[in-house]
Amino acid sequence: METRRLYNRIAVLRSERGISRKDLAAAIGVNYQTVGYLERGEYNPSLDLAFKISEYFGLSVEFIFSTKPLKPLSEELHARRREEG
Amino acid sequence: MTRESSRSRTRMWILINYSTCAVLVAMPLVLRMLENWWLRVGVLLVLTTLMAISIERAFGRTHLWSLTRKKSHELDEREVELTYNALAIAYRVMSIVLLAAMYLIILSHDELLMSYLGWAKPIASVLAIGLIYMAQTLPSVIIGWRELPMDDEGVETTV
Repeated sequence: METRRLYNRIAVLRSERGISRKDLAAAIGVNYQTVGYLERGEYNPSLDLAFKISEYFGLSVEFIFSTKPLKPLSEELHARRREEG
Repeated sequence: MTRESSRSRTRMWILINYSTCAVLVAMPLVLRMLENWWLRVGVLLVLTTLMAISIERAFGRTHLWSLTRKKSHELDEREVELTYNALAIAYRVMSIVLLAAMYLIILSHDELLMSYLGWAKPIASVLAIGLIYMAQTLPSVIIGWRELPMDDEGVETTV
């Protein structure tokens, strides 16, 4: 079965919050190497794991994961502010 | 070291390990060719050492041995998928190898054929040991061969 590649912001969010792979892995209950695979897009998480990650960062699943390449956070924030303003 | 070159190194140790194992399985035939007793001991010693080193490098350092022996509740979802696929492939490969080995063992009972080929009977017992070893290591070999090795980058660091 062919699966689509999922793009994610895990590496950016982890780096932004100063969290190590080991800490994130312990929080979501996976091996730290799995975090590396997720960040590189080499492994698509299950729905349960995706929710665990989104709950950990306190963000919605669709903000962290996407089937299309994700825009940089700064660009997205700028676009949202323009929409609001 | 890049993950790609690390995988090449794992593959190299796997090849060394299985080649050494193949030579050890064929040892009854090799020993027949060596007249000198000390040479026989020397060859056995070198092969056993190479076998031990390659087991440690191919399966120990890479944690491949422990990965395929952990209980499913000790693995995360990616590791479960990885080991499941490796065990499924290993099962298919082993069934073919075992049938071939059984045929070889049946043939080894043919005195006329064995005398013609010059094979010794003890090959059956050594072959069985080789097969047990193969059954134990094949899932690890499959993971080590196919997967890019885990990197330690970013374990403690945040970037």
